[in-house]
Amino acid sequence: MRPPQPLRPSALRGQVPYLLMLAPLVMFVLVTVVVPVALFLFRAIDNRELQAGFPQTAAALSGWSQAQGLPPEPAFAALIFDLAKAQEEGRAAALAARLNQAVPGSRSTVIKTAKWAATADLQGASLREDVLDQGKAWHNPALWSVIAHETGRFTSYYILTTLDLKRGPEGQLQRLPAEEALFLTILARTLAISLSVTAICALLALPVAHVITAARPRMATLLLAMVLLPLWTSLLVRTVAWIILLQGEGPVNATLQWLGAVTEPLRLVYTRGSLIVTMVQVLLPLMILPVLAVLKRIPPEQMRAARSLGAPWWMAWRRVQLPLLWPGLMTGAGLTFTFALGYYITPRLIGGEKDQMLSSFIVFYTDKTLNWGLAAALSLQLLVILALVAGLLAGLHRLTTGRVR
Amino acid sequence: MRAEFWRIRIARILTGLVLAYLLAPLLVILPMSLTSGSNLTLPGPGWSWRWYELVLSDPRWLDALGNSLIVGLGSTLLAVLLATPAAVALAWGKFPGRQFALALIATPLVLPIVILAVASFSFYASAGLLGSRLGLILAHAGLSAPVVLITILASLRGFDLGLMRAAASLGAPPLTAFRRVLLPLVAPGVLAGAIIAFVISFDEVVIASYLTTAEQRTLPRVIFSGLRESISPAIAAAAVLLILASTLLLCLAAALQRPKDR
Amino acid sequence: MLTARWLHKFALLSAANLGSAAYAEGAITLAGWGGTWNEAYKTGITDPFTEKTGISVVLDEWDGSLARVRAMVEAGAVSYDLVSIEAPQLEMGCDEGLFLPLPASVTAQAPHYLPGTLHDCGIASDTWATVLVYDGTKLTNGPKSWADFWDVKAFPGKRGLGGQALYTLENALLADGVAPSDIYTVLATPEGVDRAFAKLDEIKPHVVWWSSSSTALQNLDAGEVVMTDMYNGRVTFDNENNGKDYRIVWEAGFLYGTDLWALVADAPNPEGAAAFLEFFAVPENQAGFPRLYGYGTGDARVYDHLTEAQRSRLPTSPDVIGYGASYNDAFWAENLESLEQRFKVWQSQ
Repeated sequence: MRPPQPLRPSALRGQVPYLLMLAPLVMFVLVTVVVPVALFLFRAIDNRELQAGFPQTAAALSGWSQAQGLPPEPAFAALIFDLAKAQEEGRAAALAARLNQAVPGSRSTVIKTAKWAATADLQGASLREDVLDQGKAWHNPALWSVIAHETGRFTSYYILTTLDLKRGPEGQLQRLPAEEALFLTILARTLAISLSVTAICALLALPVAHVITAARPRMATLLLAMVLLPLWTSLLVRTVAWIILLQGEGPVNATLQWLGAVTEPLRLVYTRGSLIVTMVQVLLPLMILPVLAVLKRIPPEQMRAARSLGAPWWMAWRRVQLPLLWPGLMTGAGLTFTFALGYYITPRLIGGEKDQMLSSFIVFYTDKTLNWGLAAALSLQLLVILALVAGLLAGLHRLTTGRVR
Repeated sequence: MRAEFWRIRIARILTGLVLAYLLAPLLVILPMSLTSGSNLTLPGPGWSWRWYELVLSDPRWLDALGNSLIVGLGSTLLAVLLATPAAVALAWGKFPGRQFALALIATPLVLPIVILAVASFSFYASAGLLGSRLGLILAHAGLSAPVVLITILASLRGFDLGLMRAAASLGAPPLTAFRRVLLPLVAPGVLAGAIIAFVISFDEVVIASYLTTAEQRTLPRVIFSGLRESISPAIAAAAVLLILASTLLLCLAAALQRPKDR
Repeated sequence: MLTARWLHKFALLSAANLGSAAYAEGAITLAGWGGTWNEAYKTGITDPFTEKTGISVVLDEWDGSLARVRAMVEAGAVSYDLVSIEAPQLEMGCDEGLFLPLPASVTAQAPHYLPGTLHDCGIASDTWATVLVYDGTKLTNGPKSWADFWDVKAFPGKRGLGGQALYTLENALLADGVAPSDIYTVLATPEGVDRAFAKLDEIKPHVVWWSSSSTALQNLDAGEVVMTDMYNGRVTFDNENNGKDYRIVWEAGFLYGTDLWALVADAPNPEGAAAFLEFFAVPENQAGFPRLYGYGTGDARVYDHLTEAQRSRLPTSPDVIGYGASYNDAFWAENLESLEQRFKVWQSQ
């Protein structure tokens, strides 16, 4: 490759109209897509609430560690000051919600204490006892530890949580206890579902692509249209159709019963099986099309030549055709896999509770618990995997196409 | 060559099965929507148009259809207006950073829809655009603009800028050259892109369910919430209408995209 | 955020022709739960209100998401005056200042209200319960208690349970012999949570989890499960409209939940909303909804205005309230996330 030539100023000037034509769309995508997504992802590391929440308390807690039990008296006084300020500035509820994410069960105590701190007459009282009287949560050194350590502008809390990790009392990394460790399971499940869907798509795509390539032009057009038709109908509609097909009283069960294969209707819908069947049907065209595109460019004489030299069909296919098919298969697999990773509607509607993928959990934390930091961290995780897969495929693609040449 | 014969047979049978599998859900939904009963069972007790009548007379479905049309047309118009000049610029421009611009514009294509929806939700909320059709139009245009761009780019590929210059050198004013030379060449791509953009918006449910309230509810959203409550043949009828609409439109788009010389 | 502000301006400029519908002057906008719920509310409550006061009501339909209220309030673009929202969300929203305190005349009614049905920021729009249900056409001698629900020997077959910690943990403790009123004292301790999960372990292989009420009842109807937990109103609706014979086992014990009308901060028509709340707080007026729908009300006096048959389907009627207790919304407001997470881990094991 040649190094890019710098454009001469005069040449660049000629480009100004083009830049002006391009600018509106770039701006539009920036404003409606890139900026919102970036701002949302930023929540995965944003710690402004806690940073602004406890400046005095955090200072008073320097030198204190969770192992020492409850902090000394000045920390309590500082806490009252910080919470009173937060209450006056209307930040107390958000602060309580944030602390509750780290130490479940602390929300109501924090809110109560903030209301009290803003109005309490503190003269001559033991501040320590007063605060401890507000609720059980202040008896828990773990809550104080969060206030002491989460003092920065950014936090690793959400990202660690999505990896089933947390910070220990001394700031060291720890695994979450088994009954809380959810996210690696979800990640593995998401990858497993996407991989099996991709593999099945690849297996089904090969014979179809071969048959379409070998067919007479008119027939090939018809077959291609049949492949494309489902691609053109909405995802939602196709999922609905599968629910209808597979439900207890649906046609599939009716047929099975009519054939005498089963006596009781089978439970087909809301299972891993129904999810994969639906996802493969939805994504298969994305696998067939790139394979077809590559296969059309391979001259049929190659196979014939290999066969005439005495190679058995299987051997000839594997040695001659498969290497040429790789780029198409890789593109198809990349498309299928990356689309599958982000699936939400289909698992939501046709999967069981154990078949929900990463996207469902992003929705769960956004809608149900309002933990947007965690939702953002899960989104980030999904995007990182997408980027890794894309990079891997680009690398493989370069390798395989290089080898063919 | 007996083995060869069987191999081809088997491949054909397999292909037939796969195609049946691809098409089955679309085919089965039709008789479901025409049942006279109120359950989605096959065979139904009889045939009737009642569910189509319901969908086409119930204000809930009709409002949704209206909203879908408004949002679909609005976002299509916006996407086409933005993408057409951008495609011309990317096809003919020689400025640095074109690849980067293309990659940036294509972001919505690879972004999982849930992330885009949730991010738009929190962003549009701070802009006061929640629960307005305009918000949904903007979001859908962001989703479909890259597709329109790619379609137009494809139709511009192979088109020689020299033609414009030739027209100019023959004395045609720039506007005439644009109207007589460029426009006819780009038009099919623009139209095809517009149709695809409309279908994308017409089918989209996740972003719609985040950005809209009941009043701007679109057709897919009504189907989606209907599924959570009770599965009725009305949903099948609405689904058939969606399939028909998008199939017709996309056949049109395909016809437009077909190169003329074939 | 500059771009957001710019978009906002743009939105305001174009709101006239593209934004949501213009509201009639003096009208109030209520957000309810949609479908048959809204229909009953319109006939039973809002139409009589409009007749009496001349204030017209737009009864909208929403998803009960606090995130949406927060977004509207923060953006200064509030389109609802009153929303019916689930109690835990109300609790959080009230703390955040998203909802306003009720008029004093309404809160003065507190002595007549059941626990959890009158809050500083909300008055019960309806009460509902998750109850044990079986199909009367399939089981002649049905279960009598949650212990029976767990007894797979006496009642063979699968059971349906909602696929979430909320409601399911309570059901498990009921089955373990905890009285409805003691549930949250038990659940508030780590041992109590372990106890609930241990009880769930016993029945795990026999459970079909549901995520929407329609699938749950379909499963029951198809005989795929022999009994299930379910919202009482949904059961009554199917019995009365679809000719089903589902039986609610009230005496097994149940917990009732409350949705509350809450006044949204910066509501477009606060006077109209206050007028509605005052109208609604009159027992006779409030009876309009439970007369038509299987969901109850918080005010004990309302039941005097109902017939025997109407009372029999309500979770908070004097006939069955003795078997029930209120969901503890403060508990769920702070433990929802951690318990749901643990529940999902448990489910996937």
